[in-house]
Amino acid sequence: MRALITSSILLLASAAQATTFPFPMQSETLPSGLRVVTVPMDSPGLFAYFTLVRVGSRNEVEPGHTGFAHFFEHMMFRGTERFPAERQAQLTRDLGLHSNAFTWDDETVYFYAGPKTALPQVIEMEADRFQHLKYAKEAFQTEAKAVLGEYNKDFADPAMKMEEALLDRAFVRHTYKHTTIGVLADVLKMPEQYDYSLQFFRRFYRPDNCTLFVIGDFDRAAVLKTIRAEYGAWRGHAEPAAVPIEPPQTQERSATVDWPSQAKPRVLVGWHTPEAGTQAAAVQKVLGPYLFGEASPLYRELVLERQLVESFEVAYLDDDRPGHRDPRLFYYQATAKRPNDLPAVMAAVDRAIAALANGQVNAQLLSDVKRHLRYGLLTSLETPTRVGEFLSLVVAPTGDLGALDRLFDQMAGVTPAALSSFAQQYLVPTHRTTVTLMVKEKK
Amino acid sequence: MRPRPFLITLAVSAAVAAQPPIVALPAPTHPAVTLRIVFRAGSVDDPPGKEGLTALTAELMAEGGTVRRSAAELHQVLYPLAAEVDVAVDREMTVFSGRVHRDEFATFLPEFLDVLTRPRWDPKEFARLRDDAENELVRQLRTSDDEALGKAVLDRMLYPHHPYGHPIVGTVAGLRALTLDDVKAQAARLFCRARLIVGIAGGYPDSAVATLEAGLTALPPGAARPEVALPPVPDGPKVLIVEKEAEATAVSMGFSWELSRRDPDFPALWLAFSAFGEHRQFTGRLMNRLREQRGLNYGDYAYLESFVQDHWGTFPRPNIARSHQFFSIWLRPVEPANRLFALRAALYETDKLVKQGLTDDEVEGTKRFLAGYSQLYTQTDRRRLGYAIDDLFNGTPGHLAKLQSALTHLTTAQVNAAIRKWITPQRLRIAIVTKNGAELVRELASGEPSPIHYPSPKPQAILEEDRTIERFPLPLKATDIEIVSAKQLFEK
Repeated sequence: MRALITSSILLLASAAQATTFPFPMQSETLPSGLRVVTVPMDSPGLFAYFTLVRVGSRNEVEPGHTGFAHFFEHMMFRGTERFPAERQAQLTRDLGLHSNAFTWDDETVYFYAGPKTALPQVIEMEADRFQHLKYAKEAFQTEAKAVLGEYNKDFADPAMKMEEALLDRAFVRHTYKHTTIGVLADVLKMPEQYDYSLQFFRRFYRPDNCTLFVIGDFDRAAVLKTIRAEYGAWRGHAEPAAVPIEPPQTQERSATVDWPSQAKPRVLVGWHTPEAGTQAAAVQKVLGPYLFGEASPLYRELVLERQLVESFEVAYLDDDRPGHRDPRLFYYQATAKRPNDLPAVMAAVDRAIAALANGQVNAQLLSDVKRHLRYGLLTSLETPTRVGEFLSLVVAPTGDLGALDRLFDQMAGVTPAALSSFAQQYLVPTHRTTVTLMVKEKK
Repeated sequence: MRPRPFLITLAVSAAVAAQPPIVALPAPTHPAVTLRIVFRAGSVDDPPGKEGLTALTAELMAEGGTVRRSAAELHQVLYPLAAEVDVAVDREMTVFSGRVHRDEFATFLPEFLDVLTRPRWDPKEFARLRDDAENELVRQLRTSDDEALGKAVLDRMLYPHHPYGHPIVGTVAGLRALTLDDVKAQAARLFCRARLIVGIAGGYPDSAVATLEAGLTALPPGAARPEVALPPVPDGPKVLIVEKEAEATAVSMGFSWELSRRDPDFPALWLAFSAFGEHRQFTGRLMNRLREQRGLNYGDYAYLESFVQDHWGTFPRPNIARSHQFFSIWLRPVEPANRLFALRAALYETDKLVKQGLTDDEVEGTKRFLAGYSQLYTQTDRRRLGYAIDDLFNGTPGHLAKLQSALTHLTTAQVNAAIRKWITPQRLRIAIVTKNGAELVRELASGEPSPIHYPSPKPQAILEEDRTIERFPLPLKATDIEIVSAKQLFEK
């Protein structure tokens, strides 16, 4: 069978300063629309096999179904007729595999890693579950309780509550209004959503919505042959999700989160910003470390000199994502040493942003940040699993493999003027939402 | 693909007493150079009343600047290189790690050596980091991470009045008692050549080992560490309930034991613990019975050694070796209504493991699992170095390879004999972080059944097993159970 429709060799390992993905990559799209990307790398005897599905909490457009994409990720481990859940788990064990998955706003990603002798069976298992997933209602309801357990685990940390509050307040219509795990009321109702889950699978788990990444030590011809055979019968088209467009924010917003014990004082501040693939998204990748990174004046002032802040967390920093599929938020979270220090911290950040908007840009720092990001990436892609994770997250928002090249080029091209105009245009009070943690201890 | 085009050589020069051992794993094609400078020192070296001293000392060295550069100036130099300088303090090992692109190694190495040999001892940085440490206890561990709190409380239960028992970050009183002079003296005593193991890996130049060795001669000579004694553990409560406003209940349990990697039973127990509760995989019994079949929580695992997850991955973090180990079970947070059932389910599974052992299928399947999965343990230079350094610390050269090879010869009978010999459920100590603790005390002491209600039908076999679990005996008297408010923990 000649399944090859398009085949391209992306020479991303060129020596260009801006381009830093260090491995050769080949892509082929099957007639069904399923894309297969192979990335050989030095990892003797070991491989990673990633499946990117471009579905995430962004797709949860129907009321009452927040958290469903993530829940569905769990259900993908509940088996098929050919490989029921117990058999799937047993095979994973017998093949010596590391198996896991994760879900975020725009993507759900599944992976296996292990000895390359297992690769043909991994392809067989994955092809089977993506085409023929089948689980009983009881298994579905049991898994819903495990998701509640995951929610409970995460929400012992006030940072999760703050993120939930920020998104809820900053967004009015778009599905980025909720976190990926979903709101508790919906998580509690998940056991009742069996029929919806079948529909969810049909709507989004389709070949033209998926990309396979095979990374590490493997025989490309053999792998492609097995993939064509195992996924050959997979058909259908993913439905686009009718995600509402977020109206522009015109007034500053705020919220507070109550916490019953003396947690670390913190504030989370976000501004609406453009989507991945735009030059503005590349600017915000650079802006986070420029404003809040360890070499930044704010870090020096607030963490080291005045010692008001213990740490900063910033959007898209230590995050492979080049941005989101739709416009979302640039944010920072400051964890202060003492609750009374928060206003001074926010004022200092406002001053730094105002200076930026005024055209006061430290060109040396900007250049240092770009160098940092390039070196950071080059030294981080050590294992097939890490490379798979990176590729999945970079490709997910736009669906375009070229996003990888483009992001590096765009980041390299961020000028002082671009930083300044980003601050003027987006980091303005009317686009801003502020969430503060309030300690309310019970007497 | 061609096989790996470089050689791994393990050069260990421990024979020369004056020379610290060096682990060198060259990989000329790798873009980064990875350094691990390890001292046989940790929170076990905190003097009584000065809990947190070792961690603060190490943090101040790693973050507080050098004689040549203030903390801020050091960031200015290292940041553009994306160079990492980090420190991880454990009970008996402290790791200063460095990582940089090989093109910048020559710039990085002198700065990294200065961190180790010429720290700035800046009073302002001392105050900053000591504040952070106290906040970590008071405003984080007590309030914002119930799973970590459960584990910290279990440490305290297993090792009362022993430096294994307090949080590595310290106690509130201990941190407040510290002075900059204490920190300097602790550095001179602990971070010395007599306790040093040097690790370097990746794409470093030929001259790097000699330069590194020469640079580290500036460390104080110091004295070899004393043996870590573990006096008999006094009887404390069998169950310690931490009262806290919490939506879910976190449970950790375990007991101390003298299992070491040198023990002939180690491979059998390695297999047994993987089959019983492999960390964050679906292969273990606990995960299968508690989460997969019953939906009690997000995960349930068991460990034969002190375990810390390595960053976001699922593999064990290397270089947390210690002289005395413990067995533990970790139940991720459960709904308060099911807390007693979940606890009983874990005890029931432990009891069953000891009495009935693993099946042939479990043993053979787990052998295959570990043969593949454990190959992923050493995929990065950092982890390869970590394993080689642990081997030096433990006196177990080639430990992982030997374990992998030992798997093939293990029989079900050997594995089950090791389980029976080592696991004594009666010795378990249990830490529970929960709200409505007083009610739990009463339930535990009464021994009354704790039935579970599911939102969905369950197979008959599970429902029948549940009837055994809900009545599983808890041999506890009221005096075996103590309750403490989270706010009172880790004061001293």
